[in-house]
Amino acid sequence: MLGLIPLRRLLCAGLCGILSVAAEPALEISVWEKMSVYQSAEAERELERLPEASTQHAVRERDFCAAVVHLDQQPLSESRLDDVEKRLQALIEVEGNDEIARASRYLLGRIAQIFRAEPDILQAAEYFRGLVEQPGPGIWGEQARLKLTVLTLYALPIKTPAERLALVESYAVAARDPIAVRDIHRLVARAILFYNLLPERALKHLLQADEIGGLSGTQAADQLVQIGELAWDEGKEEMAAHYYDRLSKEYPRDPRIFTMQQRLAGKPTPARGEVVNGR
Amino acid sequence: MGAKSKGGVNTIWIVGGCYLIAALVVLFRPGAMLSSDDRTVIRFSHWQAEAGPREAMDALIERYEELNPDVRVVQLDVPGRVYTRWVRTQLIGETAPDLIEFGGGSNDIVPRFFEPISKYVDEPNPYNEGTPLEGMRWRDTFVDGLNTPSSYIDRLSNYYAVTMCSVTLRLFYNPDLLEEITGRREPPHTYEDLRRIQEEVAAYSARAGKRVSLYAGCDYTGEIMIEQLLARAGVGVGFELDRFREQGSPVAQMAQEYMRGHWDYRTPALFDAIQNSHEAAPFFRPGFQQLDRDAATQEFLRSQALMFITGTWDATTLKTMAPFEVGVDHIPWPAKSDHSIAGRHYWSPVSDGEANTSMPFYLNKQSKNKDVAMDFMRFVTSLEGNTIWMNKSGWNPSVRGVELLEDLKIFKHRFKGYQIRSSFMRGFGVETREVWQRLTYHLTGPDGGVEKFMEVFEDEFPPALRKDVESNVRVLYLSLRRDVPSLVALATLDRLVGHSDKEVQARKIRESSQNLTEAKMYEAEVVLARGPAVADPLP
Repeated sequence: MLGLIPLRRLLCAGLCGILSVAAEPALEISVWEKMSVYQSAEAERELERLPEASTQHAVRERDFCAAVVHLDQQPLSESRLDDVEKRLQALIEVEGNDEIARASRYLLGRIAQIFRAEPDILQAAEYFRGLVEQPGPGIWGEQARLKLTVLTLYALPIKTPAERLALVESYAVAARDPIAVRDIHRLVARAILFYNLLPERALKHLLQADEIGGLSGTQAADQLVQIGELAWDEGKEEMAAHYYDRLSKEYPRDPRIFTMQQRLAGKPTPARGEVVNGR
Repeated sequence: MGAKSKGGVNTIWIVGGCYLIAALVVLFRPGAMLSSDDRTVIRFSHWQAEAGPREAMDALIERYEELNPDVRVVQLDVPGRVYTRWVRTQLIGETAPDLIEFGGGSNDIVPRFFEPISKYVDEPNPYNEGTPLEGMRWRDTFVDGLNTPSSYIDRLSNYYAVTMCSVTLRLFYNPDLLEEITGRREPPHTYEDLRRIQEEVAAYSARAGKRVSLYAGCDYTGEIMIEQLLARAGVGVGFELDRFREQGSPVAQMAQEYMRGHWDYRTPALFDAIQNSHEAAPFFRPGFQQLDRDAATQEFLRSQALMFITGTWDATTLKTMAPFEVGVDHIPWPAKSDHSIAGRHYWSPVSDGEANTSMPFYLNKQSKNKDVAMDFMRFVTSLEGNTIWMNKSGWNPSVRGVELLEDLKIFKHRFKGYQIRSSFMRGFGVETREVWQRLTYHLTGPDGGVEKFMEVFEDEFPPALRKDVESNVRVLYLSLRRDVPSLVALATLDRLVGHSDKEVQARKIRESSQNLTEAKMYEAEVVLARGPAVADPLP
């Protein structure tokens, strides 16, 4: 089994082990690798074959790995979820804010939000808010911030769309990871349009997202079109032309370039109706 | 008794002999245990049973083996009806071929069983050396840059397949019969021309005493007709309700806009499309909805139908089997430019789609010869290989710079035009599709009519649409659940072994994509719960 693990990873894992007193982190690596490519049954078999963890730290790594593997098995029953919750809670009781604990808290939030047959979004939001408000290691604070953003925009019991957006705009200010900031801008822009609020606000958020960059594929092409279309609706023709120019260069086969060409040639084109113009 | 015993012995000998021969064939076939042929064997599977592709693949194999004498390539063509089940069984049994044509990038098969090929498609294709494509990244040599959902899978942030061809819908017609009926061999170029020909066809049928239809009819061609009439009329509707500024709402969004009360089938453009569908019913023979595609093919080949609307995948079959020269042209649809009542809501031209390429081949994770398998794919999608493919299959190429045969130029994607972003007939889900299938005869049957159809349809469509939206939400929950452990695993691997910047970036793209999916899922839930009152304050 060890022969299958790339040498670079083994060296890295060895180094991590020396530096962080993690005596046996390499043992779970192949399990995590299988999990990362959706091979959950194979991951479970691999986990069962691992030698017993010998140090306290190794046991903690093993228990976390086992909880995630267990979460990914079929059938996904409520009793399985209860069991995974217990395992994660146990990890948090030992140490509440190291990286494993934070990942566990994030997972508890996700279980409440999307795994349970009856989602408990209030409980999910509580887990996410806890991670956002308490600094700690790992990516989990920023991940939780994005999940809290989505819940605040659509699902939590907040009186008006305007209040939802005001809350979320404050999350973007506090975010540190540029990708998280970008994604919050994108989510806010989408919610503005969903609730039929002023489109020019959506344009501002998308422009900020564009400044951060990093999108690729369909999402990148869609964002260029969105900015171009919002700018066009706002009468910012130069800006619209600039973004369509980028679309033509980066995605020359995108059929949506045609509409802009028609507009620039002064030909009639279909237009958006009053019902989505936010006024 | 003795004779019986002798017969039994003979039977044993015959059976044993057959077994021995079979075993020898298996053990001595190239690449097998006892074979003296020590070439590397790679196998690929597909379901293209139409005339053309199999012969083209044979020619590609022959040329590839000539260039690579140490490799043997085996083609497995499996009938479409059993293909998906066959592939699943082979994958689970770990006996699947090295390369697999597979449809549908959104389920669990791709990440579980297929290898990401980003590292391959980011490098130049060596078989393009000495051609204008030399030095270009392999993926950039495809007409769509492999930017098609079956190749680049957004949620997995990787390229998984390379494609062989591109396909479009076209009008296939019988020029001899057209001349006999109308005195002209030229096909119709506008919907109004088409309707005039329909009148001439009806007059000819009455005069000649034999039934001829304008279009070959079956459930499949009837559905293409109505689907296209609605979808094309819907271009303007989608633009009008383009909430997220993407130049038209995609189908899930259009379902929500319906539930928010912003359109229905009495919206003028769509009502016209319903009217047009009713008026188009006599284009087909009576009872066409009960017939299958083979019946329509036969109707066309027997000169009982003047035209056949289908995909370019049927081109070689029709051309090979027809006892007449088959003409091909664009299908005339209603258009504003016709200045007719039928076309007054139809923006044109309409693009043939995103010019996406088709027939994706995936690399089996369990393949023992991944590099060789990808080398074969490099060859078949090189300028030389894809030219062989086109010449032998009669299917359009997926690779740039392949000089199109004269009679294939008509199949080339016309991607300049407005984009159809939503279906209004079969795209919402199984429930609404079933309603359409069950009720369409009220519109197109001999006693059908627009109001007769609307009366029953307007009762049944809204609850069916609601069920489809609910079902889509359930699917999104399942898909999100499936992704959580995988993303946690990637983040944990970052912590334990340290991923490269590229790998971290790939994870972040997947996380971003997941956030957007979640937003869309909650939007659907909000619309399901609140309908037109989405933006109102909560009570």
